[in-house]
Parts: sequence; C-alpha cells; structure tokens
Amino acid sequence: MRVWVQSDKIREGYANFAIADPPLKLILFTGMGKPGSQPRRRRGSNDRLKDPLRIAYSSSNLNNDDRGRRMTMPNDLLVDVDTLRTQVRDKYRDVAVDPHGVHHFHTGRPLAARLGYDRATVDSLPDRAVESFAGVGNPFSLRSLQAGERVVDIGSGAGFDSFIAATQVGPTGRVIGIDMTPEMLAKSRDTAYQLEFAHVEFREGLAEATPVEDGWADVVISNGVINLCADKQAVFAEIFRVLRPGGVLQFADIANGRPVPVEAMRDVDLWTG
Amino acid sequence: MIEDSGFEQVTIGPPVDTFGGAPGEAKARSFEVYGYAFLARRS
Repeated sequence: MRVWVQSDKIREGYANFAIADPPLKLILFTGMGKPGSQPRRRRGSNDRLKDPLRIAYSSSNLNNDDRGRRMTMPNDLLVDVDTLRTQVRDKYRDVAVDPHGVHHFHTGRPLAARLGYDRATVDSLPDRAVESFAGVGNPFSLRSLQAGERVVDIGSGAGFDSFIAATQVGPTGRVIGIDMTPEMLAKSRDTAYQLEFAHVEFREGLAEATPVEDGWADVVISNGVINLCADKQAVFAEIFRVLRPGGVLQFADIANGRPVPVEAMRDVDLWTG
Repeated sequence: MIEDSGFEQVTIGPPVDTFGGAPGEAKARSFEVYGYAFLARRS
C-alpha cells in the first residue's frame, strides 16, 4: 500500500516534483541509505539520538535534528483519520478488482521478483494470490519464519504475504491476515479456500485496532501499510499488544532520503492521489 | 519510534529500488524513495 502526493498540490519550493504527471509518494522515514548499502543495527539509546534512521512523521512532537534530516512535525495527527482510510480503501479496491490496470506502482509477480521474494515459492501460488500484491519491500528478507509460528499480517490485502507466511510456518503454524478493504478480504478468503490453507484466516480490522488477542502472535508482518496510517504510534502500540514478549516484528515500508514539506503531508488528498 | 514503542534489536535491511521502471519512478527518485525491511524484537 502506498501514499502518493498529487503533483498539483506541491508547494513552490518543491516545484520540481510537480512537473511530471505521476504523483509522488509521501514517505514515513528519513535519512535512509541508497541501494547497495548494508543492513544496520541500532545499538542503544545514545545512538538513537544521533541516528537519522527515524520515522519522519507521527503523532509525536518531532523537531529538526542536528543533521537537518529530520522534518519538524506538529504534536498532532497530520490528516483526518477517517478521510484517509476512505481514500485508502478506494485506492486498494481498485488494486483488488483491477490488478492489471494502470497504477503508479508495480504489482504482482514482477513486483515480487523485484523485491527479492523466493521465486519457487511465488511460482507455487496461483495468479489470484499474487496479482494484487502491491508491497514495497520483502518482510521475509531479514528473517524467515519458523515452522509452527503464529503470525499476524497487518494490512494483508489480497493475501500474498500471508500465503508466503503460511508456506513458511507450515500446517502446525497459523496466520491471521488483517485488512480493512472488503474487496481485498473477499479475494484473500477465496484464495485461501482454493489453496486449502486451513491454517490461514483473514479478519476485517484496522492496523490500530486488530481483532487479535493480547500476546497471541509470535511474529507480526506488514508490507507498505504503516506509511498509510495517520497515527503510527498507535499502530506500533497495537503490534506490541498482539505480540508475545520476545516476539518478532518484521515488516517492509518506504523511506525517503529527502524531506517532504509538512504542508504537503497535511493535505489528505496528497496521501493516496 | 519503533524503539520508543517497546521494541529492541532493531535491524534495517538494505534499500530496494521499489519503483524502478514504474510510472512513479522519476518522482520517487526526487525524494530518494526506496523500500526497506525492518526487523525488531518485542521487549
């Protein structure tokens, strides 16, 4: 799932972004590296104060850091939550019912290959399980799931990552996909039935309010969803709630190396344009 | 934010060119937009 900035809404200072027609994505992280750089680990609280790898917008009171990479953020949500959810549902309804239509991002098997998913696993899935995939990274690239693990997929869409997870955890594990778009839920449920994946189920819910009991999950996965949530702190708090102590969060999302104007991020029309 | 939410051992994977060849590629390049994998453990 993605966030886009409509080109005609960008302020003058970012006029260079307003020239081309396809809209620009809003980002939630800043100061990231470029392709070819290596994974990095944050070691402690002192490092955190200096590390530029931070989420760029949230409900917290953020200020510019000493490297000038962090955006100044107000102490409130940037957009109306309900309006944003409605626009996200509309956007991803299109991806569910018309996966081969014109979108501003890659979808389906070409995207899975681009993001480094295991080809044999992807090839084993039917088209309907893959065609509406619209993730932004590979949540399994840093850690494969273990047999028997219980997994929650936040923003499961048409179920692609849930089905990958189901393959990895096997029949002794369990996967619960959560999504708020009815068309995506219908598609994922039908596909699970066709695949005879009895250990996978899909539930209607929100990233900020998942219908999963406290501490149920060994692992929470997500792919390109958190950037579309207005209150990211609430999302991480909910993930913390459903994970058991010591459980693992492994997700993928977008990040930018250059800041997006706060005025642009406050315009809800820019998030899903 | 991840650490502030009670997670530790945060690891960030290498960037992936998510939008290369997509209609939005040029604008993604303008903001140096890439996809990343994140791994963290709940405390």
